[in-house]
Amino acid sequence: MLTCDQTFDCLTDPIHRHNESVEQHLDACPRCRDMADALEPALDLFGEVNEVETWQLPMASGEYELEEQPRVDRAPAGAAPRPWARGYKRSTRLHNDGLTIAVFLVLISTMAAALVNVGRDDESAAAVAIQLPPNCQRTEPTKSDADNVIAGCVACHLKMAALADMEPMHRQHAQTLVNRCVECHLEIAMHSTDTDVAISRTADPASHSLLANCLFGRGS
Amino acid sequence: MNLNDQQIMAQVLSGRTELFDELVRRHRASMLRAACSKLRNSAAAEEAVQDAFLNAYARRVTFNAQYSFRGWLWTILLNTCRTLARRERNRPDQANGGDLLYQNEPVSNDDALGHLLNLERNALLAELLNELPEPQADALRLRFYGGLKFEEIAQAMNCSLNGAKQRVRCGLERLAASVRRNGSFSQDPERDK
Repeated sequence: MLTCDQTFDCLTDPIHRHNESVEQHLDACPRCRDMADALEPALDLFGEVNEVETWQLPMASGEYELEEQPRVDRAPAGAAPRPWARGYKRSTRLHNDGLTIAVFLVLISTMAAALVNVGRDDESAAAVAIQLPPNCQRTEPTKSDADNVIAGCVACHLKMAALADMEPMHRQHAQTLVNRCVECHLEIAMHSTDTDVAISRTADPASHSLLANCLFGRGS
Repeated sequence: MNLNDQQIMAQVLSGRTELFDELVRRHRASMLRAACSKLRNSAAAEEAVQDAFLNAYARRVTFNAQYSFRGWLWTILLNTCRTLARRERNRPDQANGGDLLYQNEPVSNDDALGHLLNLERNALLAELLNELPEPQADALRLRFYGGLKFEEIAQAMNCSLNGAKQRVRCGLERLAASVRRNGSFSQDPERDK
């Protein structure tokens, strides 16, 4: 036999409300019978509403997209994803918060990049924009390589620098790069005793001319 | 899935966060019903339930496995609903009511009358619950919408076990008296004629 306390638990539990054991207790206990009668309208109302809503409520199970549901106008497109309930829309408020945070982060990262570049001189910034040929990327050039490297720079980049109709920005980049190549490798060559010989061996007279154009900042 | 809520939560805490899906699937419908009843607006209720799940997920490390998961989750929901209700009250241009509970369209003409009766029942219950003192109304929502045990209600409402039972009992008595005053509702249209 249930106690009065257990009977109250069962009465307020939709599953066990009409159990046989509950009825037995109510038959034997007038106090609980009075209470059950008094509470019956409220219990019936809860029972009916729960029974109806069980099948009516939509569920975000993650197996469908809410865009297909009629309540789609309550949330914006492209809402922030959640770790659960895939396809379920987040509210407008959170979406807007996310957008604001994303814009804020982009601004911060742009400003940080600008601050990092402030300390760099224009020349190095320009050189970064141009891909060095393999010969120019050698970290330990030797004297024997110097002539070939200078010839390579002249043949490639000085031609670009010499073009009169080149965009000012591109021309500046090309000249900057060549200047750096020439300065570096000529220094190596000049450390040898036969500097003149080294320079004279740099390819052909046309290359010399282009090299001069570069070094003195003149176009062709 | 055979795991109970506590076991799933333990797995979530150990890194298998995708299992939180299952907890959402299990509890969302009942939480939505309760939130609809409390806020009397399905859009606000949807937002409250989402916020509750988001908060539960974000603060999952604060969950104490010694206590009931449902009690913990419903505590979060009640607090979220209170916050949302306060915010809605402070918004003067907010339209009030008119959108009480989720209701699908009737699938046939035969369902139309039953559908209307359901709407009325939902509206009446939500209205009567809102006339009760908040602790009693919340206790009834936890018991009947959430299906929480009295121990879990006591945990969620931060009161004793007897206090939780007392709130449910008093709430039901007042609610029954109000239903009698407002007349009966039946699911069978013929019975109401």
